[in-house]
Amino acid sequence: MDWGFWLPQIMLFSSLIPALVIFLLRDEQFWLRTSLNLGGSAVKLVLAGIMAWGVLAEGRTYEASLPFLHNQELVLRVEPLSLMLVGLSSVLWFITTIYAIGYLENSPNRTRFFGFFSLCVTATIGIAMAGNLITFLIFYEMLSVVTYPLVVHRGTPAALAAGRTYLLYTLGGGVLLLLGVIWLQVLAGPVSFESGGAIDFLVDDHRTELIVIFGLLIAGLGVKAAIVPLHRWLPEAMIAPAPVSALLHAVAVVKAGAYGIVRVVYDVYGLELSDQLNVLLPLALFASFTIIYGSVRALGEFDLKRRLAYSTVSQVSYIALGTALIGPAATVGATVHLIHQGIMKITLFFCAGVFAEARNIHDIREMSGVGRSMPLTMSAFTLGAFGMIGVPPLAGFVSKWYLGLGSLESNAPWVIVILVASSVMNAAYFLPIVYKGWFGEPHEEIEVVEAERFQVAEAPWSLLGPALATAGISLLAGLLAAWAYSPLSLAEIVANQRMISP
Amino acid sequence: MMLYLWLLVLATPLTVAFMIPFGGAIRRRAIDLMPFAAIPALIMALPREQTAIEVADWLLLGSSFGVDQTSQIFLLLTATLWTVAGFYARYYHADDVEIHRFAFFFLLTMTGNLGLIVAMDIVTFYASFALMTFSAYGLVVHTRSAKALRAGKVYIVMAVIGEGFLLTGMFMAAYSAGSTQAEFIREGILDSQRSNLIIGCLLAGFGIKAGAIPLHVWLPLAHPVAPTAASAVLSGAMIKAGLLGWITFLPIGEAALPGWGTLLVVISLIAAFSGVLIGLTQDDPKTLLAYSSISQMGFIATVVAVGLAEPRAWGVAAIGCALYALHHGLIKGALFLGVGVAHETGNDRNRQRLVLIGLTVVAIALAGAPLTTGAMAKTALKEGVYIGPEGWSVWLDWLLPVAAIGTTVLMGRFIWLIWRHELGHVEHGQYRGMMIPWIILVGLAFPIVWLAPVWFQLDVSPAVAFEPGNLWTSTWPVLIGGAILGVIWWQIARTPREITPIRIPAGDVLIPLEWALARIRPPEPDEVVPRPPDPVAALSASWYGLFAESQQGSRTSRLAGWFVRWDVAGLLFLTIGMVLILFMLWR
Repeated sequence: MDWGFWLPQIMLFSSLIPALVIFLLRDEQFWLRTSLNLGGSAVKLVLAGIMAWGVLAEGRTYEASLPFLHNQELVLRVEPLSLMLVGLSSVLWFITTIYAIGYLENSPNRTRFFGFFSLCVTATIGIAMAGNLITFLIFYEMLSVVTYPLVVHRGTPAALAAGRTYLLYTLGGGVLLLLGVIWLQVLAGPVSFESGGAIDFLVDDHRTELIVIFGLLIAGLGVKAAIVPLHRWLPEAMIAPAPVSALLHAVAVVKAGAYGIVRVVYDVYGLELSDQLNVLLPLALFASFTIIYGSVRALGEFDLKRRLAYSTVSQVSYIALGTALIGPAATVGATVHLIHQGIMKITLFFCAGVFAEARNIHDIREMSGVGRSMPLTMSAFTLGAFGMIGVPPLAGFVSKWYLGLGSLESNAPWVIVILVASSVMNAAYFLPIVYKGWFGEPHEEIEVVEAERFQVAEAPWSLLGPALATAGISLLAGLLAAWAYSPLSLAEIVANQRMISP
Repeated sequence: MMLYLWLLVLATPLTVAFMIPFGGAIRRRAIDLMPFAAIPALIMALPREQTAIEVADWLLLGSSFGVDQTSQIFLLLTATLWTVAGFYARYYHADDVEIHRFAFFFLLTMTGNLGLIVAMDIVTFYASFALMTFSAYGLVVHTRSAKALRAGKVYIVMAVIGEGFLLTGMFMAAYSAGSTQAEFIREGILDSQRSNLIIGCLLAGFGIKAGAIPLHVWLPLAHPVAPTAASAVLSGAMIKAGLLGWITFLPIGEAALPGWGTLLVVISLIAAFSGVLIGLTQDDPKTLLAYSSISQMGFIATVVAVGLAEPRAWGVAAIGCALYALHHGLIKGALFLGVGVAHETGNDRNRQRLVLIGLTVVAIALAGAPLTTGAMAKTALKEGVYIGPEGWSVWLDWLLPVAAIGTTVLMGRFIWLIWRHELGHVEHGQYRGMMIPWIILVGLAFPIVWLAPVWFQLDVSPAVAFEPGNLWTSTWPVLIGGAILGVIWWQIARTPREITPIRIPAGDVLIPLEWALARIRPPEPDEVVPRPPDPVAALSASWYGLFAESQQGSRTSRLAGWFVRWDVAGLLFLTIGMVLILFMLWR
């Protein structure tokens, strides 16, 4: 049996089939649904582990191509770059599933929620493993659609409004992407992802068209990656339940956009061609503006999840910024941030969810002294926050370090100003939260509520455990960055494959 | 093997710190262990020969550990001071219900402070530096008083600015060096086309911690407001982290940088003098000591400046720097701890006498009187100055002694303040527990500083301090200072009155700055502010509203109902998808 062919498909079906079965269940069938969910995510985790071993230790590539349309194929491929998103989403999906089960216990419409939840991950895994542009497009559009019911899950007018905004933006972005893909396919035929670019041969005859297509593709992807001015949906979408926000901001939607930008620049156009077409500088400028703008807006928000959402706007653009810089260190920084931003931001959203569930805290000003009664949650939050600021030994520092070196490598020292300014602003909007949580005076009434609801632990372990796990991973990813199996080492492999001389 | 010993130096305080959150008996055990957490570091500071650099290629971005001749002296100082302060804190906080919080931050700060000394690459250094900086916040605000919180705020703002400078400088230095190792960083800075920018960033970034003017504004607020044991390590050990950063990463001694040298020497001399002058106007002895630290760091930085301007001088000057840091750290630690002991004496005359004598001895040592640690350290410093750039030694030769006169007067004022105002408000009832570590530190400071050059086989001999010329240079500033004190004393005896007509608030130049900032920045809103609506969402809402209005709302609720039935849609979607896939596979 050819495992290289079957593994990527089993990977996809390990969440698709549970989704299908879950839709047929009733809300009360807790155990069956939960075992399907956990079973599926466990299978996915094991498969990701096997493929990670194959890719990293044996240098294998897993590939499955299935016939699709006329001379188009659906290609699922696992190589180092796809492994990054495959690994990230398998690990975080497993953790988020546990969190979501704890979070949504006894709430209505669980069947619908978990069904789409699994579909959402299927789409993400599909995006990660997409080996050509058309496969990417299909899963990308699928992700837009299946995420909508998760965003509006609560069904409140506010949630529905946010859902509309979300759909308008993502479907609009989808149309742009579709246009770009079709145009490119008309010129080049089927475009598969190849390290170093796949469409160099077009540059002589279609220079201007390539530039316009690049703009279309990046604009379409930029909606999901929340690049200003296409970011407005993201802070609205934080109305979704915490596990959804966590997944949305860390792995699924936002990351899909960023990952798409990485693919288009490195594996469709290639750095060399992108550089020739002079399209990287505008991307870098947009990304830089987004980094600063997101931080400034985050400073003005007092709703915890909104502040985190603007922080995502800012942090995800690190990836786009690194992609727009030419040089191995910048590539390492961009790709490693795919993982690092995910694990740190999911920690923060998990914690925000725990605060909301256990203490009904939504506003930063209500967090005074919360560290006294919820030390573990607050510890996880603190690790996430310091990671975002970029304080070593946390993961965020490693990303920032490589981006900083990369900016000098590609002769764009102004990027350092952006990075440092962003660090300082991150400190300005995260440290007050950390301060309030640990050093503020606790509110009397909150203590009482706590005593009534939770006798022993500060929150159910199904919520606390995931937050602690991802906080731990964020710490280890930075502390052991030089270890051979760290995200950083994987990113270095990815960068080596795409290296060009600056 | 050595690598694990270096890691043990850091793992010990870290482990004890993370025993504290477990509470109960484990927490009590951790608090008992707190004073011993720096013992491995102390042991590692003792060997006479430095071993090779050890690399942990799995840690951070590849960490390396070790000490050189200079940093070993810093390690000795830091480990000694943290150990003594640990014992002291154990009793100072004996009745403090928040002792576990203090201990936690104390141990984390200690880990950072030790880590940056044994780190041999800039990433590990920076990581430790950050750990120390952010953990020390918990020490500064430990009392939660309004004063402490304000100091904490200024501290953290300055710290973040400092981190920003360091990060900027580090990026450029590491890129140019192509490595994170300290030795390559120094060369890389010189090779870089932006070497001036890098040097400026590192000078400022580390300068904040070292209390360099005008980046010192947090120091006179934060050092005194922390609990006494923390003040001692802040002003004795942590302030040296900035200095060590300069020494380790700036290309001092490798190229002549007269511009930077001149800038630093001017700043340092301003610090040396203004620290004394502003310190004299303080009523709180701990604030006075903080200003004295700014002044003393100015002394040391003068010699760093000499090294920057004249590489030939650095070999000798570096040893002078390290010895002066050792002297100042131990003595300043003893002065701070002594303030706490003075409070505990009650009305016991013998206790009061002991404290006053002890404090006077260390105060005289700080002033640099002959036969004290100060005389020794100053002699070592001067050796560097003599080889310095042409023309400098003429100025420094008389400016530094004049500053020493100032220190003498400042220390006189300090003893006066202790004697008249600080003796015997019993605050903790832990006289013995606090006095014993303090007196041990006072007793150890002298032999440690005197024996360090012999033990570590430095190029400076303690005997130099006994040469008649050097004896005289260390004597006359103290004599003049003493004479000035005598005159003031005589004046007061004649007409009893307070001797400081001027009061400069702690933080000096920060005060007008804060005032200006308060004018510019609107206060933070306490109420939830309505947000401007999203144009796209507003548009779609109005579009949606058109339908809703015409259909009398029933349509709306049915539409909403449909959304809730999305599981139906999802199932449909999936089925179609499955059919398609099956179709494709079949074909």
